[in-house]
Order: sequence, then structure tokens, then C-alpha cells
Amino acid sequence: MAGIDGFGTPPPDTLAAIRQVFFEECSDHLREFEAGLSALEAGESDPETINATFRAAHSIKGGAAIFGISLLARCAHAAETVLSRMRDSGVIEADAIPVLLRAVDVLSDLAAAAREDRELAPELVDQIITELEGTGLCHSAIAAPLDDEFDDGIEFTPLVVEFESLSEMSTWAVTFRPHASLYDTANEPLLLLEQLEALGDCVVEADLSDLPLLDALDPRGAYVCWRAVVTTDSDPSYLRQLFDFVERDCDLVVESIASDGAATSISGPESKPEAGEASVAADEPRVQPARPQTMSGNDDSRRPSSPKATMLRVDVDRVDRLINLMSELVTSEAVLTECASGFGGAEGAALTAAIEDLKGLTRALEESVMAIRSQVLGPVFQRMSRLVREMEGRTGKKVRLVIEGEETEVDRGLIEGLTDPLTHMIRNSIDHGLELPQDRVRRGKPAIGEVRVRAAHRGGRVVIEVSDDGAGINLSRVLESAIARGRVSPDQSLGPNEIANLIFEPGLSTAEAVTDVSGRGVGMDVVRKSVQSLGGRISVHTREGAGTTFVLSLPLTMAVLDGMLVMVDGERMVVPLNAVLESIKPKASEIRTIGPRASLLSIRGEQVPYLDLASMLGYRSDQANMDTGIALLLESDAAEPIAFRVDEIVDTRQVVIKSLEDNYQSVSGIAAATILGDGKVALIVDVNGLIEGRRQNGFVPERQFANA
Amino acid sequence: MRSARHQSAPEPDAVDLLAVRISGQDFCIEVQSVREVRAWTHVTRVPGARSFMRGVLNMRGTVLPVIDLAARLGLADVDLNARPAIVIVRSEGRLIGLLVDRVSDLFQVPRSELRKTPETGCNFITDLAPRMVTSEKMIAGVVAIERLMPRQEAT
Repeated sequence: MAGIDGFGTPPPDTLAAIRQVFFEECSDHLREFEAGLSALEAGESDPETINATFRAAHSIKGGAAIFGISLLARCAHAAETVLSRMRDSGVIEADAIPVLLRAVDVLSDLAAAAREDRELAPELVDQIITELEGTGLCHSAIAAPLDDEFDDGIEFTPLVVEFESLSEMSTWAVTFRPHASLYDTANEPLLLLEQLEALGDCVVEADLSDLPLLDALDPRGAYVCWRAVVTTDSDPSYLRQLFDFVERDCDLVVESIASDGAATSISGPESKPEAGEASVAADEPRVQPARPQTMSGNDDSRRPSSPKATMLRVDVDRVDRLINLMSELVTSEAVLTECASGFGGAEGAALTAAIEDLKGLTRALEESVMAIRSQVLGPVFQRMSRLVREMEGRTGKKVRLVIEGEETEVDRGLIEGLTDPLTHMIRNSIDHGLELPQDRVRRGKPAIGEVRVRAAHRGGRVVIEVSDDGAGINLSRVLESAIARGRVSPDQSLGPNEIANLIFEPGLSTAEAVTDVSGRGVGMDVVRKSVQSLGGRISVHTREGAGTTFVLSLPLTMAVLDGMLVMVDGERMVVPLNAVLESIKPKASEIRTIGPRASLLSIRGEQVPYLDLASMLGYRSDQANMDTGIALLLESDAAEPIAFRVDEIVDTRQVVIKSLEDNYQSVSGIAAATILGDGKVALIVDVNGLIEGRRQNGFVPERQFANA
Repeated sequence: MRSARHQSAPEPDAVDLLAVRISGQDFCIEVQSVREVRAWTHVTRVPGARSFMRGVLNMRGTVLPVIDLAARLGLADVDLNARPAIVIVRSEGRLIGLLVDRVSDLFQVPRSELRKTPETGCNFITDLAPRMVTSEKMIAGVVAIERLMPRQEAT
């Protein structure tokens, strides 16, 4: 029964799915749009940048029109017009860029509203369009008619628009004959023709010769054919792209016309495209140029410039399923390795060799799978430029946002989790870090403050720094406040960095005055929590008067880890391999004991703190025999090296990261868990967390590992 | 017909209970939250955990904590040499293993036989087992499993 019910009706969510794709593409285009504008703002004037920016605006408009989101289309159209003028004149109007950037913000809001089926006040759009027109690059004559088109539907009158002619152009004859299906799918030929006009000098004629008398006219039919002669500097492939959305619903012919006036041969209204040899229905190879020799060769070289052809949109769930399977594979491999260790002789050797091969393949597979899930940080960073613009407006400060390393790739899970902490840190930098322009000038700094966001891969982790050249954190105030709240006892002596890092304690704020933007003392502790939940760490460095730098360090992937399996008081534990600089079997003579529980290890003449991992974790209450065991020299966020004592090293291997929080809770000093080949759980040591915990034990007693 | 209906939707005023034995005492767990019962296997110690937290265990790729139910209820720790059992329960979206001496019974009682546990002056028993079953079969506290996990300590 169910099958019959569903038969004649189209799946109700098809349109919703297409809409979904549109919104996803729309946000991609918005990012390209904003990235392009930022590049232009930074002084880049490469025509390709302008073109890319223009195309982004243009695609938003096209899609919005198809889905009947008229506010979005109108706004995008106005922005596009400004850009097209800049493109045509080759002059970047510096004044127009900030307006265009604001238009991006409005467009994002409009897209978000439309996605959630919300209404957004049209005044917002009117205002930005007025501003865009104020740049002198967009005339209301161009921005306005669109409005009517959405109301009136199809316009049958020929439309002739002439722009000033430009030099170095090629001329193309475009014959565009919509099928009835084009109208059925709610496409608007006028929009397409208008886009054609935007390319340059353009004359459009409507061929009404097929129009029947009124009594024979099917109101849902298609009778009009448009012929346009366009003189443009645009790439002919771009000309065809304009009709991408409707290629199946029309006959489209694009022919090159030599500048010596061959145009007459195809512009006659009686030559139907079906009759001509060069005409090709659009659902076959899309466009056949009249003079293929002018296009051949170019065509192949231009293909790669259209990224859509090589990109694939995939449901995240499918990728996640792949990653889960891969994790299981790594676990099975560990089981296999464990089993193989029981075999001896030639068979055992062959088995071990085969398993080594398998390991290589698993690793290659894993890297490929993780690469699918990796995304560049660019979009997250670009969102920050909007934040900066808004903050400028709200605080009256002048800010220059410098972004470096936006091409750094991280796991998409991290991307989602990063937006909030980054927003918070940048807000904090602008609100509390940077001074007002007049104060900056008085202190001999440039009036415009700088916030720098920098990302890079470092030591198997992603490091993101947010720095400002503002006033720095007022350390005495932070200390005062920490003492007042009982986080620190007054007689403790703390270094400047220790004091600065107190801002991550709950209830402490860097703000001298609480503003409406931030500074209520709920902030940096939340940032630290969210960073920790991503498996990351955060620290802050500050110099009074010179600025503040937040350093965020995050794992590259959230699925697998290269680890060193060690024995710690009878437990197997994993130390992340990227934290281990060196493993040493120390001689008794190299170890000094100072005080009741502290030891130092002498490594190449340097005295390094040597700590028993089992005692730090609370596994061992009695003093370990430091003279036995293996020392792991570790790399940490702290400047000084440190060494941990473990009982023995088992091997190094890849482990699959399993969450402890899902069913239990986060544990200080432990990053996560993993499952070994025999099915038992081993915990993964959080080296920096342990070092940090030890350092902070001094003033936060409840942090101690109390194992009753 | 009636019994068939019973299978698909249990009578709302009957409760299925799993009886466990710890330190010579009986306690009950609502079967509704029990996922499986497994034999004792090695668990991995977790630093900084409370004394009743025995460690973590792998159940088909999921890492879950194991609570010594006896220790949690203030009784003597479960003896690991006496082949104890682990009852895996789901509580508020989490999977938790409960270490018990043994599982002793599975039975159904009318909901009316569940009473409020009388105040004995031992607050945490009335907190962790706020109700008790008083049937002819046994008189035992029903463990409120959602209260067994300690609140997240500050990290």
C-alpha cells in the first residue's frame, strides 16, 4: 500500500534538499565574496580577484532568484552591479569596499533568515542598497527593476541596453530559446538576459515569430526566442556558465562573431536555431561555437578554473562512518599483531611481514580518510572579519585584522568547535586589549590597532595564535581579583605568566570596566573549557603596554594518535609520540634527589625535573625507585623541558582515540582512552595537562589527584 | 490474547527488577535500564577517581566506567576473587558498569509494592536507594542508578 501511495507524487523533500544545497553553496559563495573583498581591500587588484568576487555575488543572485528569495537576489544584484562596474573600469574604488563588506553581512543574514524561513526587515536591504548606490557605481535604475520582475513575471518586450563600449573585446551572438519547462521550473529569462547584459555591450532582441494568435496561445507554453549580441571581455565559458541553471530547459547557441561585422549572419529573426548547423540542444554538449578553432585549446586549459567539476559534496555521516570503520581496522590490526607475536619460526616471520604491510596500508588509508574530513581554517577566520567590523562599530576602536595561515587544514570537528572560543578571544582582544585611537596615539602607537590571527601546524598539532598590540593584561588587577576570590593566597609569589593565566579561572576578568560586549568575568574560563573539550590547550602571554597573545594548541585529528605504549605501576598507558623528544635509560649517577619528593635528571649537562608518572597520576603512593625505569624527555608548552619516569616502554603504535567523557567524565592528566589488542582499555596521558596541573597545584589545592 | 499484549507493552503498574547481592545484602535494579550482565574482567584504573570507581572497561568499542556498587553504598568492597559480575546499565544517556558480588534474581512486582525508603539516619542510603521493594519475595532497596555517578569534579 505504501508503495502505491508514494507512486504518483514526487518526494516532498526533493525541493527542500535542493534548497539545502543552494544554501550550502550560498555560504560558500559568501565566503568567496568576502575573501575577494578582503583581498581587494588589502590592495590586490588582480583582475582574477575581481572576477572571482563578482562571480560569487553573481551566483548568489542567480540562486536566490531561482528560489524566489527576492530580498537576497535584490541585494546581491546591487552588490554585483557595483563589482561589475569596478571590473569594467579596472579601478578598485577603495570607498566602496567597506560598503560591499557590509553588504556581505546583510547577505549572510538574509541567507540565514531565508534558510530558517524567517522574515528579515526589508529596511535593512533598502539601507544597504542605498549605501551601494551611494558609491556611485550602482544606479537605482539597475537595482530597482528587479523588484518588478518578481511581481510581473515574464516580460515580452525586447530589451536594449547599451553600456559604453570598451576596447579589446570579442563579440558573441547568443540565441536563447527557452522551453516551456524553463518556465515550469520558475526560471526567469529576464534575469539571465540581464546577466548577459552585465557582461558588456549587449543588444537583445526578442524573436516573436513563433508567437501564435491569442486563441491558440497556451499560457504555459514557450514561444519567445531571444537573440543577443554581446561584446565582452569575459571568457566565453563564463558566458555559457550564465545559463548553467537552465541548460536542460532551453536551446542555447553561442557563436563567435568576428569584429569585422559578420554579426548579420545570425541575428536575423527568421533563422531558427534548430535549422542552423551550429545549433545544438543544450542537453547535449552544451555549446558548439561557430568557429571551433577559436575555442579549441582554450577550452581544456580553462576547465580546471571551474572547481565545481572536481568537487564532491558528501554527507558528513558517510565520512564519519568511514572513520569509524577505519578506527575498527586499526583496532583489529592491533589484535592481529598481538596474535602474531605468539608465532615463531619462518611462519611467524612471514606473518609479521604481512602485518607490517597491512600497517602501511592502514596508515595510508587513514591519512586519506582524515584528509577528506580536513577543512581549511579560512572560513572560520573570515567569519572573524565580520566580528571585527561589528566590534569597531560598537567600541569606536579602529582595528586591522591580519590573518595568517588560513590555508591550514584541521579536522572538521575542530572547525565547528573553534568558532566560539575564537570569537571570544578576538572580542576580548578588541574590547579589553586595544586602546581607543586617541589613547594609542598618545602612547606613540598607530591609531589603528592590530589583531593578528595566525594558524600553523606545529609538532603534530595545530597552533592558533590570537594576538593584539594593545595595552596588555593588567597583571596587578588580575592578581588582586584572584586573591579577593580566594583563587590565590596573598603570600604566593607568581611569575607574570602564571598571573596572566589566572584569567582562565572562573570568575576572573581582564576587564577594568564591565562593558556590554564582554568582561563580566564569564568568559575565558568558558573558552578554556571549550578548548579542552576539543582536546586542546590554551595559554596567554602578555606584556603590559605591548599587547597580549593567546595561544591555542589543538590536536590535528580527533580519531587516531601515534602513541608510545608504556608500563606505569602495572598499568599500560599511552604517551602521545609527538610529545616524546627522547627516551633515556638513566644511570643512577645522573639522578639527583632534592627535597622529599623531587628529582632532577642530568641530560647533557642540563638539570631537568624528573617526575614519576605513576605518582603524578596517584597510582603509586610510595616513593618510586627513580634509579630504575625509563625516562621520557618530553616536549611541552612550558619553556623548560621535563622528564617523566615510566617502568618500561612496550612499543610504539597507532591507537584509536576513545572518549572518556561519553560515559564517564574528563580526567585531569588524561587526554582520552584507547582500546588495546587484547580488548583492554589503556589511558592516553595528557602531558601538558599533567605538567600544568603540577604547576597549578600550588595555588589550586583541589586540583590534586586525590586517590583515596 | 492478554499475555500477548503483556509482552509488547508491560503493564504500567508492574516493575521488573534485577536483584543483586552485595556484601550479604540484597539490592534491586530496574530491568528497564539494564543492558547486559557480564563476568568480571580487568578494568583500567583511572587517576583522580573516587575510591568506589574501579576503573574503565571496553564494551564493544565503548569505554565505560565501572562502579563498585558495594563501595558506593558504603559497604565492604566487592571481592574480586569471588568471581563477581558487572551489570551494565544505561542512565541518562551514559553506560555504566556496576560491580556486584552476583546477580541473584529477576522478578516482577506491582508498582504498589515499591515504597519510600524510611529515614534511617543514613542519608546517603536514602539518597541512593530512595525507594524499596517490599514483596513477599524480598525486602530490598531499589538503586537509583542515575544518582550513582559522582558529579564531575572540577578539572
